[in-house]
Amino acid sequence: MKILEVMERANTRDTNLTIAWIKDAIHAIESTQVENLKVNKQNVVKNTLEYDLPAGIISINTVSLLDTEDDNKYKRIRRIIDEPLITEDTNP
Amino acid sequence: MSWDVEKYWFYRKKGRKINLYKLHRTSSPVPDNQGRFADKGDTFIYPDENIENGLRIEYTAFNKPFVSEDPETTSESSLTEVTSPKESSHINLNRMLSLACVDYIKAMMAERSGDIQTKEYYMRAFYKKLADNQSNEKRIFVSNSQPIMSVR
Repeated sequence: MKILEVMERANTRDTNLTIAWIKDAIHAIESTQVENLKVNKQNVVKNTLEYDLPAGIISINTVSLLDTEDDNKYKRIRRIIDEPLITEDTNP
Repeated sequence: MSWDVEKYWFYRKKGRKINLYKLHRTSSPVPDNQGRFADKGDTFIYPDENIENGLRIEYTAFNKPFVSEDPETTSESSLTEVTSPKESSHINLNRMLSLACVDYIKAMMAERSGDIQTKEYYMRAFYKKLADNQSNEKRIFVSNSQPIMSVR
């Protein structure tokens, strides 16, 4: 559907504002539905706890780790909800 | 040399970062030199090895929100993204979700004019269309064969 058709259906003439609202609507759609999936891969570094989330992320679908002993398959790992007892290990 | 990653690796989302933990099993059936069993139990440790491209995050994000071709008639890979959208640009959504966008815009316009009741009405319509779109993708037909000797 063209932006012009959306504007006519919504009875508005402000193009820039309509585009901004469409972006907000797409954000709301991506927050609740899986329409566009992207994949980000990072190196796991020994003794490093924190890894960046990809830029432009709206919601996480899965987090997986490479199983090198099982024919290099990525397997989904589980999420911890509670904070672990050790908040920082200065000598990992 | 990562193995059984689904059993021993865990993550935790913390702000804009992901913390990666490995489960380290420390409980041992072997007593120490004073005859005591280890009482520490399992602990989480930092990753204890380097894994190239080891972490894979699958996520939703903006992907070509505006395109120059009609997404209803053009395949996803052939769509050209429009970085500065105009009135002639297409929204990269199917028809149901595009109609949901119309409801969203109507809701925002109602909110601007202070009409919260109308805004709520259109937001309900917006989420209804999202639900319809999702259920359209999950429609499954189940057929059961009837037993030959069944008595009804």
